[in-house]
Amino acid sequence: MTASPLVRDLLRMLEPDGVLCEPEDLLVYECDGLALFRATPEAVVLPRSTEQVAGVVRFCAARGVPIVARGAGTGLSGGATPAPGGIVLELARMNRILDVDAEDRTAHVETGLVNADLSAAVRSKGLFYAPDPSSQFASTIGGNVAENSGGPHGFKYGQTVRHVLGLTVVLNDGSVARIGGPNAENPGYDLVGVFVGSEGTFGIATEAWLRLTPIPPFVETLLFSFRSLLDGCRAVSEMVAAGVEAAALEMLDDRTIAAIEASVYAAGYPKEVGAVLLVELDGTREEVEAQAREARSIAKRCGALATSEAVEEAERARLWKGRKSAFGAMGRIAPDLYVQDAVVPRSRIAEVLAKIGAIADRHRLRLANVFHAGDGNLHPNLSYDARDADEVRRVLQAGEEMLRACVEAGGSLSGEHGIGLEKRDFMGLLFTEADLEAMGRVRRAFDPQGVFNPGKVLPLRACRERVPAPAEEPVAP
Amino acid sequence: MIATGKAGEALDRAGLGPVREADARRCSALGAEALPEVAPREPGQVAEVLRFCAKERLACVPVGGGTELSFGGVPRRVDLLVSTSNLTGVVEYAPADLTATVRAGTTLGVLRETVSRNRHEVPLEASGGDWATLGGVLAAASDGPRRLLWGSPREQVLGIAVAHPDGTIAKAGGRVVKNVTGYDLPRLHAGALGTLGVIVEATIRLRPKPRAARAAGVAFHELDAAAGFLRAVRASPLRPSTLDLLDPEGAQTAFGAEFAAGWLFLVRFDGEEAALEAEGGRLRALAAERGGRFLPFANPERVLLEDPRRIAWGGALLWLRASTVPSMVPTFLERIRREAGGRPVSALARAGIGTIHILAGGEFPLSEVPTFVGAARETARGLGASLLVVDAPPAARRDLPVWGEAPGGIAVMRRLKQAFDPEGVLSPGRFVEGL
Amino acid sequence: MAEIAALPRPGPAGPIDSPDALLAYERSLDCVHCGLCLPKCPTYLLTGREPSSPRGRIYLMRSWAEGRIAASERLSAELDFCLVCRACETVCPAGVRFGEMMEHARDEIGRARPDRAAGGFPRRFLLHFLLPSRSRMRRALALLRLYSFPPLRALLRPLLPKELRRREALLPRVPARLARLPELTPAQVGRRGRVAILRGCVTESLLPETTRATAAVLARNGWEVVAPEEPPCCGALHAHFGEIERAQALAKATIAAYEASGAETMVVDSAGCGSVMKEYGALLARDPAWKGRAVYFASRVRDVCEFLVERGFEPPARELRARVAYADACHLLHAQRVSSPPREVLRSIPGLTLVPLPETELCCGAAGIYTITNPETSRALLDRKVEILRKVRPDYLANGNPGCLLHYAAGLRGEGLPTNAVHPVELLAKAYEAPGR
Repeated sequence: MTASPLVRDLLRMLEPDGVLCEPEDLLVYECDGLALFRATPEAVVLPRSTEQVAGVVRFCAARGVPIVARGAGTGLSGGATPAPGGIVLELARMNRILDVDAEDRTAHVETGLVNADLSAAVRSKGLFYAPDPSSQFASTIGGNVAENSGGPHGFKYGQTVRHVLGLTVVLNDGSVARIGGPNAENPGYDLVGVFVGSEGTFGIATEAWLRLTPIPPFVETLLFSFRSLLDGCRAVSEMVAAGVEAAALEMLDDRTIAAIEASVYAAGYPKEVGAVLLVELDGTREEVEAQAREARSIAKRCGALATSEAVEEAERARLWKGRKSAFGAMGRIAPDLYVQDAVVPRSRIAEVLAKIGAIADRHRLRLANVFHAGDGNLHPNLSYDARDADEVRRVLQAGEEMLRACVEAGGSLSGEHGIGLEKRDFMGLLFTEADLEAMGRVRRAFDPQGVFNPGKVLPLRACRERVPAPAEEPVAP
Repeated sequence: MIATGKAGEALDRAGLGPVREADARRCSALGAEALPEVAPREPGQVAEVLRFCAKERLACVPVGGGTELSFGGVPRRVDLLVSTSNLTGVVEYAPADLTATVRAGTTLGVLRETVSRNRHEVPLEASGGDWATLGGVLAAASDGPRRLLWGSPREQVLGIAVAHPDGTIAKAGGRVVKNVTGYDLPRLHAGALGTLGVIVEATIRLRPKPRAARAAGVAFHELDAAAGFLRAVRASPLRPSTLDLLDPEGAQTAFGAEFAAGWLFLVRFDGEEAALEAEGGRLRALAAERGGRFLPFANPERVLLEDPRRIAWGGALLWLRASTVPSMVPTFLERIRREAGGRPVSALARAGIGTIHILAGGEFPLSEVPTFVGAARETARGLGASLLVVDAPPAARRDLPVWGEAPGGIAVMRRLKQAFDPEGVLSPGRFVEGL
Repeated sequence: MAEIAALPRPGPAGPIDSPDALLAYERSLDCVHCGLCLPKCPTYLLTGREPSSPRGRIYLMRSWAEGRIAASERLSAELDFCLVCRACETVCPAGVRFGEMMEHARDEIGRARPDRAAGGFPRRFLLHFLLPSRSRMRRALALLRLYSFPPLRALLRPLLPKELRRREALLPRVPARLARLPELTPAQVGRRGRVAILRGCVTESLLPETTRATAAVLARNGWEVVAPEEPPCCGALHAHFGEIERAQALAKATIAAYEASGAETMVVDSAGCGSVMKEYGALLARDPAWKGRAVYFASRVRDVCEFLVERGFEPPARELRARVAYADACHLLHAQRVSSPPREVLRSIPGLTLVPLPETELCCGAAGIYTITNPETSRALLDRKVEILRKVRPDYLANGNPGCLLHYAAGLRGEGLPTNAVHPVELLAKAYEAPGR
C-alpha cells in the first residue's frame, strides 16, 4: 500500500511501527467500548514520549487534522470514536511508572499505564490507587483522567479528579505545560480540576502525578439479598441517611446476577433473589464493626432475605470481580449491549428505576440494572442485536427517554462514562445556551482551533466559533 | 448624595442601585480611600451590574463577607464593590440526598445552623469562620483544619451558577453527588477569586455529623522529635480528621501558658465512639514512644484553629501561606524559624495536608516585610513549595510579589481570563500574573 | 464536519461457507468490546496495538465474516501473529471461545490464501510431512541429534545464513539416547486400573525423561500404563494453525487407538495435546459417525497432574531439597483451567520450596510452532521470562507442556542460567526415587 502524504510525514516523527495505516488496522480503531458509533481514522500513531506527542500535535494542528487520544478504548460514551479525517493517538506504549513517593503517597506515571497496574505496583508499600472503574484491569490512567472515571469505591474515595494532583499536558500548539503538582495548593486557576473530565477535548495528558491511598487496615464486604430492587433501594437510602460511611454501596438485579454467575467471574451471588446489595466497609476494626452492625440492622428492617460477609481478601476480590465483569458478562444475553449511565438524587432511585423499567417494557427491550446505589449513579443495561436496525432504533429511543426521566427527577446525564458522542445532543436537557457557551469558552481557551476530539461533549452549535469543519479541510499540505 | 463617585452615580442612573458607600475596612483592604458598593437582590441583577461595568469599563471587586478581601494582589483599579450580602438564603436543602443549594451571600454560620437540625455538617471552613459567605469561601478556596477529613473545598461543590460580564448567568455541574456532565467549571471558579465571574449560587455536599469526636495535643521540645512523630502518625493506620502543628510561639499565643515551650500537634478524630477510644490509645502510644507529652482536650472543638491569625501575637501584620508536601513540613518550619531570627513570627502547619501559615505579629518591623517575604519565597523555591501573601498592609502589598512565579499553563489562564472578562473589569490585577 | 451516526451492523456476508465458520461468527458476537482481555494478551502487551489484541482480532474476524474486509495479507498476518495462548478466554466475562474462533478463521482464511501462511516452508514441512508420521519424525530427530554433536555443530553453524543462525539458537538439543518406552508398563503396587498415555510426537525423543516419569509415576500409584505406537500425533498443532482437516484425521486415529487400548482414562503430560483432545467433541461435531465417540473420548482426557490429584496419589516420603518455580502453561491454565493440581503435586514433595513467579499467566512464546512462524515475538516473550528467572533464580522451572519446556530450556541455556526446565511429574518421580527408601 502506498502511504498517504499524512502518513509519510507522521513516519518521520515516529518509529516505523509507530504509525498504522493499513485498512485492517484502521478498522479496529473505528469504535471504543461503545460500538454503536463508528468512524475510520486516517492513521493511528503510537508515540513513546511526550516529545513525540508534541511533535504529532504541532504537525496536525498546523494542518487542521483532528486528533483523538485513546487509551485502552474501554470508554462507553464514544469519547474515543475517531474524528472523520483525523488521526487516533494511542497512548498504550507510554505506560511507565516514573516515580513512587511512599511517604507523601504520590506516584508519577505516564498516562498509558493501566489503572490496576499502579495499584499492583504500590501494594507492597501498603498503598493503592483508589479510583476503581469496572474497566480498571484494562483502562488507562489517561482515559480515566479524560473521563473523570468513578467506580464502586468512588462513593467514599471520590472520582478520579480527587486523585490527580498534577499533569503534563500537550496543548493545541504542541507546547508542553505542567499544570498542578504534588503540593496541596497551586497558584492560579485549577487547570487540573477542569482538565480532568474534559474528555480529550482540551489537550493530551502524557504524565500524571497521582495521589495514592493507604490500604485500610480492615475491610469487610457485606452482601444482602432482597426480594426486590425497591427493598434494596430503601436500605441504601437509610444507610446513607444514618451516616453509614461505606466505601462502596452497589446494587445488582436478578438479570445481572444470572449473567455474572454464568461467567468465569461467578462470585457466588445468591440466585432467585430480586436484588443483591454489596456494602463494603473499611477503616479500623472497631469502626468497621460498629458500621457493620448498623448496616445489618437497617438491611434487616428493610426486608433483607439473607446476609453474608467476607473479610478474607480473596473472597472479597471474588465478589468485586463479579460486579466489575457485569458489563462484559451481559454479552451472553444478546450480541450487543447498551450501557446507560445517569445520576439521580439518592432519595429518588426507586421511583426512577420504576420509570426506567416501564420504558424498557414499552420498547420491548431486555433490561438489567447494576448500579452505584450510594451515589445514585444508575446503569440500566439494554441488551440488543446490532444487526436488527429496528431494535437499534428502539434502544436509542429508550436510552433518551431514560435520560429524560433522570433529568426530570433532578439528576444528570452522566455520572462517570462521560458525554462523548453518545449524549452530546442531550446536553440541552440540562443546560441553557448560556451554560453551554461558558463551557465552549473554556474549551476554546485550551484549544482555540478545535484540534482535540472535535464533535464531542458540546452540541455543535456551542462550538460555533471554532475553525471550519476538519473534514472539509485538506488532510495534508 | 453620598460619595459614591461617578461609578455609583452611573449605576444609580441605570437603575441598578441602590448604591451605598463601602465599609472603610473593605476599602483599605483594596488600597482605596472610599468606594461605592452595590448589593443586588437577585442573581440576574448581579449579571446586569457586571454587564454595565463591562460596558462602562468600570473595575469591580466581588465581595461576600469581606473576610478574604486582602487575599491576592492589590487590584490595579477599583471603581465598585459588588456585594452578595443581599443574595442570601438556602434555595434547597435535601437532607435525604445530603446536598444543599445556597445563594452565594449566605454565611457559613447560617448554613451550619440550618443543617445541624438533621445532624448534618457543612464540610467547609474559612478563616472568617461563621462570617464567611459560601461564595467567598468557594472563590478563595478557603480551607481549615478538617480538610484532612473532608478533602479540598473544591470537592464539596457539586454545582455552581456564575454571573459573567457579558450579562449572562451560566450554570455548571448539578445537584447530584456524582456527575461528569459537561466540563467541571465549579473547579475552575473555586479559587479564582471572582476574576472569571461572580458566583451567585452553589450546590454543596453535606456530611452526616460524626457521632463523636476526640481531640488531643501532643507536645515536643524538639522539632526533630516532632518530625519523627509526624512521620509515624502518617505511616500508621490512624486517620485523624485534623493534624495541625504549631511552632512554640504559635502554641503559646493560641493556647497560653498551658502549652508553652514546645512544638504542639493538634490532633482530632471523628467517628464512632468505640473506634475513637482505640484511636486515642494508639495516638497516646505513638506520642509516648517519641517522648511527646500527651494532652487530651476535654472539648474537641478547641483544637479547630479555623483562623490562622489566632497564632499571631498582637494582631497579624503579615500572613503568608506556603504549600508543600507533608514530608517537607518540618524542614520548611525550621528554615522559616531561622529566617525570622527572633522577630515575632509564628507558624501553623496543616501538617497532614502540606499547607503552612506564617504570621508576623503586630510588632514585626514594617520596613523589614519585603526582605522577609523575599527570604520566605527563596526558601519555598528551594523546597519546591509555593508561597503566597494572604495579607499584608496594602502599602507594602502593592510592591510585594504576592503570587510568585508564573504557574504552569499560564497561557491557558490568560486565554480563560480573556474569554470570560475581555474588558478586564473583574478585580483586574488581583490574580496571578496580574490577571 | 461529517457527522458520526449510530449504525446498525451488517449480518454475515459472502466469505463464510462452512457451518463451523458461521458458528464461529455467531460466537464472535458474544464479545461486547469491553476490553478486559487487552492487558492479558502477550502481543498487545508487546505492541500496544489494538489489532494485535484479542478484541481487535475478534473485530477483524467479525468484519471479514461480514464482508467488510477481504482475506488480505495483513489479515492473515495478524491472525498468525496471535499465539492462541487463550489468556483472553480466562478473563473474558462474556465467555468468548477465542481459540475455537481463531482455529476456524485461520482455516477459512488460509483456504482463501493457501500459500501465504506464516512460517512458509518450515511450517508446512513440520505440519504436513513430519508430524503425521512417527518414522519420519524419528529420522528427523536422529539427524538433529547428529547435528547436536558439539564438534559437528561448531563446524556447521558458521556456515548458516545469519537469519538461520538466530533460529538455530532455539533448536532443541536432542538427548544422546533415544529412549523407547515399552508399550505396556505394569502397575507397581496393587493395580487400580489401566490408563493410556501419549507417546507423543516430539516428547518421546526430545523429552524422554518426561514420558518416562509420567509412566513411572502412574505405575507407582497403581496404574497399568499403555503407550500405543499409533497415532503419531494428536493433531494439536494442526488445529491451532487452522489446518482443520488434517487435525480431524489425526484426532480420529487418536480416538481409535485409545478405544483399542482398553484404558479407562487418557492421561496427558502435554498441555497443548490435552487441550485439543479435550475439545475433540467440537472438532468432530459435524461428523455424525465420530461425534459421539469424540465427545466421550474428550470426557476421558486428563492432564497428568489433574489425574493424580483427582484420583489421589501417594506423597513422596523422602525429601527433595530444591527451589522450584511453577510457570503455568497457557494450554493448561487458559485452555483447560488447570492451575492448582500441578502446584499441589509439587507441594506434596517434602523439602521442595515453591517460589512465586511473576507473570506466570503470560505466554512464554513457544506456542506450538510459533517459534517458527514468528521467531522475533517468540524470542521477545522468552527474553521477558528469562529476565524474570534471572531474578528469581530457582533450581527448577516446572511447566506442564513440552513445547514450553524446550523453549524455556533454550532460553535458560542461552543465558547460562543454572535453572533446569522440567515437567512437575519429573520432580515427583525424582522424589519417589530419592535415595534411602
